[in-house]
Amino acid sequence: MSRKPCADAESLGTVNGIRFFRIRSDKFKTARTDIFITDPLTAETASANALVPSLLKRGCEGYPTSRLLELRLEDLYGASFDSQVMKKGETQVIHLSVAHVADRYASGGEPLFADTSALLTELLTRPVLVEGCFRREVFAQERENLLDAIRSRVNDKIRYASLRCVEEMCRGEAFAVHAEGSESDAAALDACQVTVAWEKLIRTCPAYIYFSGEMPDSDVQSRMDGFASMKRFPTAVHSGPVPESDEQRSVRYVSDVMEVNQGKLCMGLRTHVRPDSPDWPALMVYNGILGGDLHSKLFQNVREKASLAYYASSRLERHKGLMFINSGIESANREKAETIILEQLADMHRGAVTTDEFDATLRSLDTSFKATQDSQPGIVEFHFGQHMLGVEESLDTLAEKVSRVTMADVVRVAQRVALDTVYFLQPADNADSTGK
Amino acid sequence: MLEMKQYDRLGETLHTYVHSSGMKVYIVRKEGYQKKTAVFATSYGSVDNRFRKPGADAETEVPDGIAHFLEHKLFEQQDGNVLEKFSKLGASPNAFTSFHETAYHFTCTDRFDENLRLLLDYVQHPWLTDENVEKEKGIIGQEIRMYEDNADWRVFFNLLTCLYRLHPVRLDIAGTVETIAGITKELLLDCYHTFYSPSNMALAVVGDVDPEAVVAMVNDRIEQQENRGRIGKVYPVEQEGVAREVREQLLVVSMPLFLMGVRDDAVSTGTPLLRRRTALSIAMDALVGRSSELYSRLYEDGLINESFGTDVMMVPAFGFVTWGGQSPDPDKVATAMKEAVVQLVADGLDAESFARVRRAHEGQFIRSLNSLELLARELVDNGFADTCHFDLADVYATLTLEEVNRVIREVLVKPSALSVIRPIPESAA
Repeated sequence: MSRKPCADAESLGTVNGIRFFRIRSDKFKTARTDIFITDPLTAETASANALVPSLLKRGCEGYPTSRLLELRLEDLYGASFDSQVMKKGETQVIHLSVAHVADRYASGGEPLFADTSALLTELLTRPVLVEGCFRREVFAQERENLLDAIRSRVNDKIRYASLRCVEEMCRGEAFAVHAEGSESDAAALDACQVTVAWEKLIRTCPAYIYFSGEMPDSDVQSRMDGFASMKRFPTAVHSGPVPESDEQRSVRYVSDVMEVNQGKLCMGLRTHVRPDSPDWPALMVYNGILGGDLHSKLFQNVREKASLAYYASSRLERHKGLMFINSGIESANREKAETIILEQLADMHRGAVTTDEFDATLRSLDTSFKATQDSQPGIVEFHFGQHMLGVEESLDTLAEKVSRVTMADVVRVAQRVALDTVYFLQPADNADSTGK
Repeated sequence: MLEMKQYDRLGETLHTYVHSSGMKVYIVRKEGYQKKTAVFATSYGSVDNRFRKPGADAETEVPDGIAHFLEHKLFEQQDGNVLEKFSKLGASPNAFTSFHETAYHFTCTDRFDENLRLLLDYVQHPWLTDENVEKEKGIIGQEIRMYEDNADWRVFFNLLTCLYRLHPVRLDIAGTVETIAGITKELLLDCYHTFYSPSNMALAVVGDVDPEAVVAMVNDRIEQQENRGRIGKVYPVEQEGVAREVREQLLVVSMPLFLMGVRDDAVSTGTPLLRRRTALSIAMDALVGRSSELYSRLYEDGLINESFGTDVMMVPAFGFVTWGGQSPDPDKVATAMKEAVVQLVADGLDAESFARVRRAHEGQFIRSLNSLELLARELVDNGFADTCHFDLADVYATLTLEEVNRVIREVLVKPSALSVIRPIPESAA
C-alpha cells in the first residue's frame, strides 16, 4: 500500500493581514471553517478578550438571538458553531469555528459550505450593537457566565491542581494569567470595554483562517474577497516565543488543603527548549519516555509497579517550554510517589532508558502523527500551532525529524529540564463527602 | 460467510461475519484513513451481577465491581504486561467497562494484523494469581477515590440511586472499596468463563483493512468453536415510581450541579430499540435543546449555562433519560422542566420542530462517522442489542411525528427524580 499524502495546509496568501489556508481532503464526511485570532496574553486584556466569543455567539445582525442562530444551524443539517478562548504560551487565542456535513450530504442540494462560512463571518464581524456597544443585558448575562466559569475551576480537581501549579510557578510572568483572566478583572468590565476589545481583535490582531474538506473553489474565493473589503489595520505578528533564562532556582513547594478524598500532585518543570528550537523533536521523545503513554516510566513505576495511583503522566506546554507531571494519590503516599517520580527524572537525566522504552516512544509518536491526519480538527490545530510560531514544517516533516531523534539527543535535552515547583492539593483530615 | 451491505445515504459498506461460536464480526472499510481500530467486547458489564450460566437453572450472584476488575486484570499476561506488547507494535491499546459491556480496543497505523492477533489472544487468556489480584485492589481503590471527588460522576450515580430501587444500574461501575475487597481469583475466573465465551462477544474493525483477512484471523485465533448458548441475565423488576425524588450531596464545587431523569422500563431490542431511542432524543432536543424556547428562557434568566445538556441511554437491560448541568437554583429549573414536560405531553411536538430537529440529528449522525473509534464502539454496542448502527440512516428517513409523540406520552409522563450537588458552605470548609 502506498503512503498516503499528508493533508497539508496550502497557503492561499495573506489578505488584509489575514493568513488563509486550505486543507484538502475528501475522506471526511464534513467540511469546516476555523478562524483563529491572537493577542498577547496580559492580565489587563485577558478577560475582555475572553468575553468576546461568548458575546459573538449571542447573535449577529441576520440572526440577532442565540435561538435564531441555533434554529439556523439546525436547518443547516445540524451544523455546529463553536467559540473558545485558550492560551498557547503567552499568547491568547480566540478560536471560532463552524463544522457541518459536506455539501454532498445535503439532500436538498443546499450550498452548506457557502452558507456556514458566510454565517461564521457575519457572527465575527456583525454582532448586534446598540449605540455602538454590545447589548447591556446580554453582556451582563455573559459576564456572569464568565465569572461562573472562572469560579468553577475548582470543580475539576485534576485541572485545578494544574492551574494552581502554573499560578505558583509562573508568578510574575504573563503565563500565570488564565485564558479567561481573573474574577476581579472580569467583574470590573462593562459592555463598551468589551466592544473595544472586539474591535481591536477584528481590526488589528493577527488572524488565521482555515478551510477544510471538500468545497467549491469559487466559494472559497468569495469568502476571501469578503475579508479583503473589510476595514483592517493589521499589526505585525507579535514577537513569538519568550526567551527563557537558564537561571536555576531552588524548587518551590506549595500545597492547598481541600475537602477532597484523593490528593492531586502536580509538578511543574522548565524545559529550557524553545518551541521553534531544533531540539523540540527530542523534547517530545523525552516527554514520551518519561510520561507520555502507557509504556512510559511514570505509568509503569508509579502505577504498575508501586500501585500508588490510577494515573501518572507528563505533558508538555510547547509554547512556554514547560512540562507538567500529574498524579492522583493518597495523602499518606505523597512522599513515596514523589520519590519514585524524582527517580524517573534522575534516570532520564543520566540516560538510563532501555531500548524498549525508547523504541516504544518513537512508535507511539509516529502513530499519533499519522492519527492526527485522520482528524479534521486535529489537522487544523496542528497547522495553526505551527503557523503561529512561524514554523512551516508539515506533519510529515516533523514526524520524520522525531524518527531521527537519538538517545544522545534525549540526554542532551534532559540536562536542561529542571524541576521548578511541586504543588499538592491535600485532602483535609476529616474529608467526608458521603451523601446525606 | 462474509455478508456485505451497502448504505448509500452514508457512503458506507458494512461487512458482517458470524463465527461458528456465535461471535459476530463487523468490518467497515474506510479508504484513505491511516488509522485502523479494533474493538473486542463482551456483552457483560457492571449490571451483570446475577445470572444463570448456559444450561444451568441455579442463579449465581457475585460481588459488585467484578466486570471492571476483570478488565484491569486482562492486561496482565503470564509473559508480561500486554500494554507493552502493543506498545512494541506501535499501537495504543485501552479498555473500558460500562453498565452493560466490557470492551478491549486498540488503534494503530501499522502492523494491524499483529495487533489484531494480540488483541484476540490476550482477551482469551486471563492470567490471574492471588498476588496480582491483591495488587490490583490498590490501583482500583485509587480509581474509585478519584471518582468520589468528581462532581459530574457523583451527580449521575446519585440520580440513578433515586431512579432505581433494585436494578444494579444504580451501583458504581467499579464497585466500592468494600465490595472489591471481597473479590478473589476464583470469582474472577468464574465470571470470566461465563461471560467471555465467544458466543457472548463481538469484534468490530474499522479502517483501511481487508475484510477477508480479518475473518481469516478470527477463524485462526478464536479457540472455542462451539456455541455454548445464552447466558441468562437476571435483572430485578422495578416497581412503578422512583426510589426517592431528591438526593443531595455536598462537594467542593463553585455552583450547584443538578441532574434530573426519568426511567423507561419498556426495554426492547433491535429496530424498535433504535427507533425508540432516536425518537426520545429528538423529543428531548425539541423540548430543551439549544434551539428551544425553554432553553433560551432558562439561559437568559441565568438559571442554566452552556453545561446544560440532555442524554438518552437505552439498551436491552435498562433505559433512562437525563437532563441537567450547573445552576444557581436547581429547584427552579426542575419546576420549569416539569411544567414544560406536562405541556409537551399534552400538546405533542409540532411538525416543523420535528422535521428540523430530525434533520439536524441526521447531520450530526453522518458527521460522527468520521471517528473510527466511535464507529467501532457503536457497531459492537448496537450489535449486542441486535441492531445495526447504520440502520439509523433508515430510522431518520422513516421516523414519524406520531411515533415521537407516542414515545413522549409513554416515557415523559413517568415521575422524575432530581440529584443535586451543592457547594460545601464556606463556614464548614
